Amino acid sequence: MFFTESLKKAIVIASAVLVSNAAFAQDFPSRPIDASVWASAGGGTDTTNRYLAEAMQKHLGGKINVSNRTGGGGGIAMNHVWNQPHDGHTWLGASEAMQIVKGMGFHKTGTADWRWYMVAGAPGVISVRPDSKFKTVDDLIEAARADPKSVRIGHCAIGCVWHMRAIALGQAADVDLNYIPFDGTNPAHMAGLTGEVDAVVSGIAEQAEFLKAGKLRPLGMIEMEPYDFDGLGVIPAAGIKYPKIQDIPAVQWLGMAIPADTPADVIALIDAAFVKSMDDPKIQALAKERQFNLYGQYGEEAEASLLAMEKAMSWKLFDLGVATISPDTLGIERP
Amino acid sequence: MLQFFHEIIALANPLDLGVMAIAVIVGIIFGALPGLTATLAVALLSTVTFGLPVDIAMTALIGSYVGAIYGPSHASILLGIPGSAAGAATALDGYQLAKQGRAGEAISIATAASAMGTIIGLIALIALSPILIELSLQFTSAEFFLLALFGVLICGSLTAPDMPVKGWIAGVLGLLVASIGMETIQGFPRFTFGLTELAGGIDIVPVILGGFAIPQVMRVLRDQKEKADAVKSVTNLRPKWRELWRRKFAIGRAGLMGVGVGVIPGVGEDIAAWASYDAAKKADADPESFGTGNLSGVVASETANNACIGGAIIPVLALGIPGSPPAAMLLGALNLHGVRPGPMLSFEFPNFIAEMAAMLFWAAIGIFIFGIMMARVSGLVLRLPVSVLMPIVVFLAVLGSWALGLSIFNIYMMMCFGLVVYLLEEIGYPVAPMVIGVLLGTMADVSLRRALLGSNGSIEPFVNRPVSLVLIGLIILSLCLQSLAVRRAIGRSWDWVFGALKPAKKPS
Repeated sequence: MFFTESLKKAIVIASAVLVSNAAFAQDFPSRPIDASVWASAGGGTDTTNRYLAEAMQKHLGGKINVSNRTGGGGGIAMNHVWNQPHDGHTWLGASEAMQIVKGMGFHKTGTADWRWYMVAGAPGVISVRPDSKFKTVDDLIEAARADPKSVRIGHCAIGCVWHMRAIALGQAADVDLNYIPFDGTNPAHMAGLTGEVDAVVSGIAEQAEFLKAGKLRPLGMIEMEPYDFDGLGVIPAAGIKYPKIQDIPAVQWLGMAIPADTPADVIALIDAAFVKSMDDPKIQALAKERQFNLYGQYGEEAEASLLAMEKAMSWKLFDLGVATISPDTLGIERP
Repeated sequence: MLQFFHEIIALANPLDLGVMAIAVIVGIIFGALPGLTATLAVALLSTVTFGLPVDIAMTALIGSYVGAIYGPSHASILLGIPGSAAGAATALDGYQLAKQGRAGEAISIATAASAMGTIIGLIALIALSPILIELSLQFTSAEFFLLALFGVLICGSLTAPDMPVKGWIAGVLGLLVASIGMETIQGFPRFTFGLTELAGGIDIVPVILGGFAIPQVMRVLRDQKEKADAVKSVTNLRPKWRELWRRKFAIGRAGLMGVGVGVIPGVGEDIAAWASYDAAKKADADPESFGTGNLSGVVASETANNACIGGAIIPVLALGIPGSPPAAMLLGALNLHGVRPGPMLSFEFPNFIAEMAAMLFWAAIGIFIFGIMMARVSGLVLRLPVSVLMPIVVFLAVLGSWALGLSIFNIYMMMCFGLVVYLLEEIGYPVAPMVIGVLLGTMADVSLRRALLGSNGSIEPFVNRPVSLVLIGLIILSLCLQSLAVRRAIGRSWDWVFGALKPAKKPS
């Protein structure tokens, strides 16, 4: 009697567990999804994630709450998401900054531990004050060749993607530029206006208002392709003359990530919703308004390019003396 | 200017005026309750209004800011305990007036003076912001460093109760706190002890909440027995315009001083009120009557602290640096909404300055109406026992620290900071320079090294630019003024110059 009672109980519990497991993917999401953006509210990462959340909740059903968990170079948000159950209900609002998190020691996980969803990003451009003596990228490079460290290039905080693009240009042209970091892209733009730096490197999206207002003049894209800017004409690509800029494959991207060991059926649902969301009119409008290129990459495809980026950026930061731990010891090989 | 009147009319719709009314009332309550400050009001409202469009959010923030700077006058007059530091100078004469049964008169004149101060501030905002925005292109890293240094030094000398050096020490402590975290020039972690939470640096909100709220709560609870009875009878609330008209020059002087103190980075409404009170006392024919219930004392401090608001917003819009702690929260909110101060402001948000000025105008009307309406009610609210009020303050401080970054660590930070500040204040080190040091510290540190990086190590950018030379001059002057010998020498030369002028003037 006693035996059958407890057996019954065991069966009930076991079947409940089985049912709940089986029902898992069908019920996903079973509660509101919490997306933690690593950057502060109002910036590109935050805006993109808020738009993405709106688009994806249509296709997933249920609600996606976006909040900002800032600090620690992204480590705080990553730590929070990583410590929640890996069941797809907690997302990380991510950007290219996540590719240096492991190398810088901000968090123990790296690019290989997450599944990435890249929504959009802007190409990098180098610009000067309208009255600058530099008319082309070549002018600037030659001035730096004649007098090393005399040309000051302003960009966002050290290790950020535009710092990497600026280094990519200096390295590809083999000249010694004076890289001046600012707290963000906007202060760097200001320094470009005041003449504190000779040129500014940032994304075309962030610079758009300055270019339209004629406060900054574009010299060239630090990319392989020229850019057709509405009303300003085509901005030439520095990569044509200096193809080695590709050696540092750092690009801006904004999007989100989930732990890579999330159950496969949940991943399949999120993948499908992501693909549909990329065609959402709001996402399209965001890209147009902010001059973003839409990527729409996820899974293996995204991981391949982001792993290359992680290697390149981690090692560059180590070589510059910014990162103190050798990426070797973290399992990041030299590219 | 035309734009400004345009914006006043544009804001006169039920939605904006409704938001403004609520915000002003919330502000007045925050200001009137001891321990709750304007900074806290703006900080908490900026988290609440984040999801709203930028103009509605700004209406709410400006309304609460103005209300919360005016609000302390209620507590100062009725209770003798200033609601926050900004109203401390008002308590000297206001409470004496209330004890003489003239509480209504004092509140009405404080209200009118506050509204007028706000108007003077907004006129300065309209007049000076475009000039400073033009000038902002002269501000490179070298100037930002000197400006930050000037702010910390002057705040130190103005707020220290006994000797300026204590203020400077507090300022340097703040600078030290600001250096915690990953610095942004070389990416080197300083004083982080391997903690991820510290790598991003110290968040400013917990520092402000910890520095201003916690010590206040501890003091109020400690001194509970000394709490004076609130004055209950509030009559005769009609503003006496003749009394105000008699003091038109005093109001003008207090307004200009308020604006001037506001523009200086970091020094805020409390210092404006004290400086103006002090000046009014010195200029008055009968300085002895100050502190015994003189309406002029109330007018001087209340006009100045509200005029300070417009002044403090000027550097926020022009340079992106805060003129006072609540303005720092306002700047944070602007950043959250994607408004970038400086030369791009007129391109991205063409009417922004006029709009802010129009909001200040409606806020001035708001404190005038609600201030007088609430005078009787606030007497009741203020009689809530502190054992109810203070826990609410602590709760709000904890909530405010947690809300911005959703981080428990910030709550610990806030508590630690509050405790340290309490101890420091007990031995005569003021809290304001320390908070200003934290606020401006990163700017000072990074700007200095960035300027040196750009010039490849030469100090030339500090000495060959006009604005930086002016700032160096101001720093040297403010330091010299602390020396008694220098002050005497200036006094003598002053007498000599005016002594020479006076007889020459008389015949004409």
